[in-house]
Amino acid sequence: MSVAIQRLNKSFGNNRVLSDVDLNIERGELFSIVGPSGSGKTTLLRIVAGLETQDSGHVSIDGRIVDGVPPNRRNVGMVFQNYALYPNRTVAENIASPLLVKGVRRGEAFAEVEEIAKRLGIEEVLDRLPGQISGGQQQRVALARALIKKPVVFLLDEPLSNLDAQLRFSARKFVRQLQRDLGITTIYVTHDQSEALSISDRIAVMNRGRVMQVGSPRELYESPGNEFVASFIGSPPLNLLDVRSGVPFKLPVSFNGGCAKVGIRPEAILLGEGENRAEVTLVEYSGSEAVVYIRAGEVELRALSFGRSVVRVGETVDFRVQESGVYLFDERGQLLKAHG
Amino acid sequence: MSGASYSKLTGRLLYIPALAYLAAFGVFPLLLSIYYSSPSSGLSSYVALFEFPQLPIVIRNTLIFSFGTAGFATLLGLLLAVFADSLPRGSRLASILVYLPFTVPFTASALIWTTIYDPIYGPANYFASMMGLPRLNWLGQPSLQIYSTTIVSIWSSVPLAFLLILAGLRSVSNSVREASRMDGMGLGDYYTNIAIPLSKGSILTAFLLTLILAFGNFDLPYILNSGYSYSMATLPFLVWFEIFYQNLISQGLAAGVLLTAL
Repeated sequence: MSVAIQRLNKSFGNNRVLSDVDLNIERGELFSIVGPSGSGKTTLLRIVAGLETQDSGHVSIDGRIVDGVPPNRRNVGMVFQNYALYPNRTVAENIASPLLVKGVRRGEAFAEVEEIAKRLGIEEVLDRLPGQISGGQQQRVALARALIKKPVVFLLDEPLSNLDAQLRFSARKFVRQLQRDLGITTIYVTHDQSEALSISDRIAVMNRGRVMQVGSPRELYESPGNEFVASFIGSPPLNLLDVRSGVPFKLPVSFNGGCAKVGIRPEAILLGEGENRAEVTLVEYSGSEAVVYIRAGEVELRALSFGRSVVRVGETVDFRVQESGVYLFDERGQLLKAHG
Repeated sequence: MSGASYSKLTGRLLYIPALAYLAAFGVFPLLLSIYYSSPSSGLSSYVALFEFPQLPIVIRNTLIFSFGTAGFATLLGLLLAVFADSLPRGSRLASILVYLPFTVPFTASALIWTTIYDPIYGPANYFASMMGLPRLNWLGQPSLQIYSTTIVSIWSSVPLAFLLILAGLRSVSNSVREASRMDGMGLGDYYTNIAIPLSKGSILTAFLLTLILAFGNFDLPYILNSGYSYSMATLPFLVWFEIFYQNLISQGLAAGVLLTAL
């Protein structure tokens, strides 16, 4: 085990940001922490980094409890959301900084900088200042500075959120490949569930300071443990219906009194077939797919339609609900039954 | 096209109030004083001013006073700002204490310091004798006067320098500081290698502002100089002294023009 987090609690004043967080991160895996803003994910990362101190609980890295150990002696490398490069130092000096502070000789340090810069494709910009290079290059400089000490754990705080959409796509792949090549244990914090799904070995979903579920991307998507995870993971988001007063269309599953809500994945609603009828209220076309909003009785549903969209706003369509992609939740939002 | 020229014209029109202000209260009085400093007799008042035996002392005093003030106020302001910035956020008490002299008008602080410097009852001599130093006549002894005056000026200028420099240090992103912690830099490394170089603009501004303010400061040297002695006079004091005390209006204005030129 590379990082173990045990019963971690943290409050800022009266605001409890972490409640009894337990997580085990295996050696070499890319572990994401996702959640909405305010869920405590960044605070958790900062506690692992040593930038913040927990109220209670323990963090151990590589089998050693690091509570109270300063950040630079924890064997972790961190990349900040805004990269936090030193604006008055060149790229090479930025990357070399952790070595120089440790007392490594300049020649030796810069030889290592050269090597890592080549690996990350930034050897051309070593003499420039951070303000003179692109956002994507800045990000690689931040990665290089975090990696040059050869840390045991790599901590990434929303590393892609400052990049534009096009660049984010390639940077995501770059980070994943780098992590694989180095085999370095990585904790990756993001608010973007699709980013987490695509990049991670395992994911922890957090909400209001608690870990809601830990699992592989597929596990979280296909068998969400509760209402929150089901709604948070997946895009477009799940349809969540209160079923205590009945449902105005036919569902392929039966439920009893213990069931309070039903979740239906948008892709589980098939349009143009089946025994239910609904009115199309909005179509969001996005190339390979379209999100179609339909109204059945009092209920509005999101349906995902692949391929050419044939429905138009105002039309009446037939639809049916596929059994896989339907989840039943009890009053407390816990999963009763998943179909799929 | 017409929109662009229109906005360009509007832009130029917007300069007018500022230019009018500068002309009315800056350029016009300056020209007027140059005119009156050289009335019928041409440059005679300037000749008189430059032949005035105490002028070198007054200029020397002005330089000591203004550069001493700016230099030490900036240095002390920097030290205090680094100290205040290194405190955890939220502990603002220290900053408030530093602001205090800023809230005291020059006139009042001069009066406070007259008491502090009092050769018999003043705390300055009390501390001096406590540390085994001789008792001094801070404001009376000619060789000491300008330095005593400068100390008061430093005391009242530190807050301004402190505020400006602290603003510079605070503008360094918090994550940059945290990155320096991740890299293992101590506070000393952080300030000398990162934060102070990044704040050099505000440090320079603090120096120039305190320098200019000290250059033209009249209240302090006037109130502390109760004996009207030349050995602690600065140029603004000289301007006042010539015009209003000795009624040598053109010579005083000549000193004023010299001050402006410097």
